[in-house]
Amino acid sequence: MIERLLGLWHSAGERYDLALGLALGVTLAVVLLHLLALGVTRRFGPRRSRGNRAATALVLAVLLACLALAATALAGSARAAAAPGSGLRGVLLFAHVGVGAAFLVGLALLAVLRSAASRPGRARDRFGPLAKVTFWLVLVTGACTGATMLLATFPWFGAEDLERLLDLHRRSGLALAVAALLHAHGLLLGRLGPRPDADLARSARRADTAAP
Amino acid sequence: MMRGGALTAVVALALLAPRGAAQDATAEQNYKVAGGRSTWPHRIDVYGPDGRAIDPGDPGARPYSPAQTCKKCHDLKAIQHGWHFAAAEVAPPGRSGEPFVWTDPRTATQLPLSYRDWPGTFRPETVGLDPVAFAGLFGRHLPGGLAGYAGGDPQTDRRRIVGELEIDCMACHDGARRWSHERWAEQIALQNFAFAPTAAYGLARIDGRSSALPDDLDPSTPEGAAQLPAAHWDPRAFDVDGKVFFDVVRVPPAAACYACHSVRDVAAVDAGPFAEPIAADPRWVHDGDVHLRAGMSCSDCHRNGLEHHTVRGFDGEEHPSGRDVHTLSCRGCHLDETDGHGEVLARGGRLGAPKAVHRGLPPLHLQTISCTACHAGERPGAWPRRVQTSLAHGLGLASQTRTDADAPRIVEPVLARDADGVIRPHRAFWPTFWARETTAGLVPIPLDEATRTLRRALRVRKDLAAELGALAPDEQRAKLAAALGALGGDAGAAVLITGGRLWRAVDGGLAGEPHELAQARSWALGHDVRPARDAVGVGGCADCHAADATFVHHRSVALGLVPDADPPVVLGVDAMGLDADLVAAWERSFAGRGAFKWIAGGSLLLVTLVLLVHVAVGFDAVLKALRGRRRGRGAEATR
Repeated sequence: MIERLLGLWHSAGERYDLALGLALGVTLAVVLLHLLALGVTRRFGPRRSRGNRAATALVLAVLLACLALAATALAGSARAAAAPGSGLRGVLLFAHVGVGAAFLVGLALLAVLRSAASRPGRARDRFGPLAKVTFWLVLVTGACTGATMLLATFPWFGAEDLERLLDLHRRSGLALAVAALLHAHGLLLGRLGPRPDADLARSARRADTAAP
Repeated sequence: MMRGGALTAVVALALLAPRGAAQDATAEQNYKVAGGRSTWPHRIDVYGPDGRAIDPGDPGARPYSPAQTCKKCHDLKAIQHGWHFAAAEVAPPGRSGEPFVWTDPRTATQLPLSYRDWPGTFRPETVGLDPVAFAGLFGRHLPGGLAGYAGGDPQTDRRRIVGELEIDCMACHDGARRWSHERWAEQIALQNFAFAPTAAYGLARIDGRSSALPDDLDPSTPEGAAQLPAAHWDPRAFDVDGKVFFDVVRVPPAAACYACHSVRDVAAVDAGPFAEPIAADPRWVHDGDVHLRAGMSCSDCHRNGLEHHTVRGFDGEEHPSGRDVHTLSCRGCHLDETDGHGEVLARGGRLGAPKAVHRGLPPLHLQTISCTACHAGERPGAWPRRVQTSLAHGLGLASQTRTDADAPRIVEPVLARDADGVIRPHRAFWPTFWARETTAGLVPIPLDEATRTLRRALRVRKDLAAELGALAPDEQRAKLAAALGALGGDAGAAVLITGGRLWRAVDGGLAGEPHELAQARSWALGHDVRPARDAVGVGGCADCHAADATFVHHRSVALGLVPDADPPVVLGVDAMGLDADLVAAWERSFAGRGAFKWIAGGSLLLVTLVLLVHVAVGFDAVLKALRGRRRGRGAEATR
């Protein structure tokens, strides 16, 4: 099994649809299991503050861009697996490149706007530990994915080096997709728990009724 | 003299017939092999079709037979299935190549023929060409091997009289340029098939013409045999032992290949009514193929073993021998075969081939575009060039009547996507022929019938296209409609396929419509190869990804016999199976590629800076924490 998975990782170029699909599927399953476990045990943490709407919209946009990039990559590689010689081409490639550029701009803005709030060990944190860790993962893998794409547009590398760059692009993109999914999960967790002010009001009511 | 000759023949018969028979039996099982790298000097006896050694002093000696002569030491049965000799045997038919184009000026016919069942071609026998007629038309540019080409039964058809057009090894393996293409073609035109190798190698002068002999001649009778052509041997060709020296080379020189595979430009732009034609550059301006310029020969890549299954050299070729011939293709030789991740599986670089680096060319291009698309033929222009080829126009044979306008009109390069999804440059021409619509589809009208009827209906003398061209367009259309009326009958309505359309006679005029058989017949071209610095793309992405890039935005126009104010135009985008809107979108995006790189680069720089800052901050925090812990320990120790 491990050998197969390692083989899949090595042959990410040929079976990228499997590698990406498997990675996203497993991550999604873990996320759902986690949510289910939290729901059953009702151990959601307190709800965190939403922050400003523009920042939230930006995060959503970046995450949606990640989703679109993963979807186009998945569709392209599935097409390649079904019909050798095809792949991420035509409209799919155009969409992938276009969204990729927008994603890089969004990532840069996100890095500027959210990095301070995502630093570990700060009092009155707006984000939980999962959201924080995956934020930095998104930044690193996003930068790596973008850099491998950008470098390939310069006449510096030959065909074989470009293949290696493309491989790196695929793998870092795969890691980015997983990190983005987990980051979305981390942010969602921060919106699921009870509101802190509502808890205070509830405990105050309890105290009132308990008083003689 | 006669007596001496007869005596020699009898002695030769007595001595050689049994020995020849014995050699036949053993030679096929146990050939003599020299084994060295040098070519064995071929000073050998020559044999006639009956297996008897030829005595140049014998006036009745039959012509020399390459088959009988060469099979003493070479496995002819293996050789005769080679690509050049056995087109009719090939199954599956393989990648489409240049068809034989049956060109007849009296009917303006330009009909693509092939024994290989290539799309849009007709098998010669279906259009009334028997093996002898086929060889008479096209044998001039074949190295023999008619049986493999045309099938049939040589015992019953006209080959009883004209003989077999045998494989002539010297057509390709002559190292002394003694083999005469001119004489070969001349003897074939006279239907002296059996005498063609003898005449071509200059062993004898041939008197007589088999084409003048009646079909019912019986060559087995003395009277019949007396009417056959005769060979008058050149005694100087034979040495003191009665042997002939053949200057055989193992690897044919490029000149031998060019005898049948030459192409010449006749117009730099051929756009019909859409642009003024531009004459082709003179020959001295052309550089030729970069490989030959580097000292190579065609056979260095297009190799074969004894079976003569010459490597065609395209990607994905499966050789009948089962051997991997990938490294004999452009890609296999100039690129290492990788696993798709940059890891090398098989190295190219044969014969010192430089490695193609293709800096900045996304790997996707190498998967969907053939090497030849950017490197072979002339650089694509807005309109294709017009060329002539050996097979179609008889290049290589001296002619006073050949003109640049001779049919068929072949154009190149037409970049188109093949069935395997790869874009390649092609040569193409649009067929012209008269046909009948039957329940079985379109059936070409036999040329004899078309000629007779058109001569009466249109009073054609020599050249239908030229004679019609002298008339006004309306008059031309009326005449062609009348011709269709005359050709039609109970067997089906007559139609004319020409200029990319099917034409019917309608109310005294002509109406055209698209038809599959009217589409261009095309085949991928491989040469002349241009060097890297002259390839498409050397100027960057905009060589192809721009609104004025001729690689994508070239056009070719179908021209034919019918005057057509609006002839069909094939757009490069369509031929390559591209989405025009998407192409335009890419082109617009490439216009802003510089800005895209700046924005993407700037964004990445920003992300990197943020990461670095926070790594530094985190590092600082860790250091502070460590210092704080040390201070705490120090304070505790002080207490």
